[in-house]
Amino acid sequence: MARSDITIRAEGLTKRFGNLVAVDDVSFTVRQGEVFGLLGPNGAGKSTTIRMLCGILKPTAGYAEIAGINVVKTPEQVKRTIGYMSQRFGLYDDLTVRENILFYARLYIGNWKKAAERANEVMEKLELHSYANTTAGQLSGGWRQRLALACAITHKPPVLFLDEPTAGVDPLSRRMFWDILYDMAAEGVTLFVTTHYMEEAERCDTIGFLWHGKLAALGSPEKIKKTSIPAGVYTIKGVSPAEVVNTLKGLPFVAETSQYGSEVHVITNIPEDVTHKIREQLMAMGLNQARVAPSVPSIEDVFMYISHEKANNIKQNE
Amino acid sequence: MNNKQISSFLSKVLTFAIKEWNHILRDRRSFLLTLIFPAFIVVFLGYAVTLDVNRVRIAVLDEDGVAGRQLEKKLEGSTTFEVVQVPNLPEGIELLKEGHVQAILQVPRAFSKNLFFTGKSIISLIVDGSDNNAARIIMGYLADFAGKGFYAVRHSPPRKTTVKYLFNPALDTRLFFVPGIIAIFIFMMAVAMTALSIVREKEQGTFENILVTPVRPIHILTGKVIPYLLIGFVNFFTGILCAYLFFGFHVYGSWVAIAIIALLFVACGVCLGMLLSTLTKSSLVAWLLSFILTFLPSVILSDFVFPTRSMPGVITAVSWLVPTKYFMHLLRDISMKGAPLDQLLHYVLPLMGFTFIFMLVATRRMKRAHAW
Repeated sequence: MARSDITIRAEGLTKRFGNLVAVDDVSFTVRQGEVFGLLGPNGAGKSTTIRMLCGILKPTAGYAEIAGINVVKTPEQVKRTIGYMSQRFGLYDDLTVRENILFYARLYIGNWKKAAERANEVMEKLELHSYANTTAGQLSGGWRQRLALACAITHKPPVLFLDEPTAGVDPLSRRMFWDILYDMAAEGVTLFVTTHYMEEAERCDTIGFLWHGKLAALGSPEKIKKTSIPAGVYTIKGVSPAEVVNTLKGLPFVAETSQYGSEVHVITNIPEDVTHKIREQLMAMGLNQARVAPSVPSIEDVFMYISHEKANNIKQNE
Repeated sequence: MNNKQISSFLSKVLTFAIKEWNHILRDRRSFLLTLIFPAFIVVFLGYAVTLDVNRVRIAVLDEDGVAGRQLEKKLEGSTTFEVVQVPNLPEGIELLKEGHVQAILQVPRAFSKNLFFTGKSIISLIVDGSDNNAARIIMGYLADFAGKGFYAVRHSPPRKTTVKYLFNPALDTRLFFVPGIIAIFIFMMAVAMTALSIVREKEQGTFENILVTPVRPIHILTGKVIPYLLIGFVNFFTGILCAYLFFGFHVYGSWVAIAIIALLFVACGVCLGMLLSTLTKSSLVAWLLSFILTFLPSVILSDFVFPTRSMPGVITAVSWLVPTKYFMHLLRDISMKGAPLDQLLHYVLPLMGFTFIFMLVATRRMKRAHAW
């Protein structure tokens, strides 16, 4: 991979707020046109990482570079290169769609005629035209999300940061939104997305999993699924999930149990096949109907496992 | 700065100014209220705020029968007094207690006889002291009256002191208060509106979005200042116009000077608003801060009603930190005395100083809050 391919580079990025280490020694690279997903529970440091990369929060330590620009040294220069769509969308509810877009377009583009042209272009591209004179406050979640995106791309940024862009948006709108993001990635825009929707993780080229400020896993979703769990994952169907969880929880070889509708996923902490052991345990509790089978872990399984392991490590260290 | 930098600066500042206008115009009802508010305040409070005493009910106990009637006629002829006759003192006291009259004027028996023969005579005045301000004024009026009242009785004219009041010949307290009311309200509005407009962006999360764009705090602040400066300026003249129409307020000095100090004063308020906006992230707190820091000091420590000079030394010193005080003096001196601006630099310069310091600290704090 050529070095010039790398659009975002973070090396040992760290942010401390007093005693709290919000982001701890995080390193990764993102190639041009890649969709990078930063995942993790609330408070894991996702937004803090994005804000450091965007040049609005100074890292305590570490280095960050966007499109060859040193973010730590020249944060102001980065701002022309990036677009940023924030968690709360940052729209002016009392202004119309056009006024919102035009505001950002003018901040980036000094020539107001060009700014107006670009605003129209963006509205067309995101099909916001019919809402041009509607105030942002009247839009539904999905359209607000589009408007926020429109505001972030008026200056055609080669790098786009999206901080939980799909929070609180219905599934259909979310899917449409991802289609737009893929189109942009195909055009060569580098996308850096944070999310806590696990199914969205699978849509990214590369994902990083942040846990308590540390990057606990990094790689393509396939790679992470294959390599992050040293032991096995089993799916149990056909009996009451609550009873299965109660039975298996606390067994020495079980690391994590989680319920998905009528199924239970069990993550073990030993590499050997334990299908029989699990079946025996369930039979002993009278759950004869249980169907136990080894399965491929989902991204969610992986993150449950990582969280569990990390928490255990911390306990042991104490 | 070269041309390109200047045009980039202006473009960003104007972008913010226009956006701010859009916010203001979108909320049409609030905007109209903002424009009408100063007129309402001036007219409504202008009528209310006066120390002049009018239609004072006074009981006259006439034991003399000659001079008393004469005095009574005089009193009735003025708009200041409404006369009630009482037959004896206890009845007069009773009226005073019940609040039906505010004073009793007792003209003793043989009053005119004594006056005629000796040139001296005594009348007694009993005044309700529970409202001591009114009492003092009534006493002043009546003493004046009594002196003149018996001019006809005494054949030789009494010695008279001629008092001429410069600058406010009729001593109309409204002309003194109304400019003060305008000052207090435009300052408070300038501070609050500016502070809120910035804090609201923090609350809504739009502020963070702006920070990711290539703008600097100075663009945001300057851009936001423009609309509120304009509104404050217009509000001031709305107030002055109402003062003229309703209370006969007149500017003896230069209108240009008035415009200059008004702009400066509003700018000072707007900059203070910016400064306050850097102290909080909540609209409610911004409101309270604006109100507490502007309203009470403006009313109490600005020579609006209470002369700061007669306050304890520490408080007098503190009063020099209240921008409204400088403006209050400027406005009165220019409008009522016709003083030229260059003689008032000791008020103008501190006001400029405050404005500059507020702006500087606000930008500094904003930069530091988002410091890299």
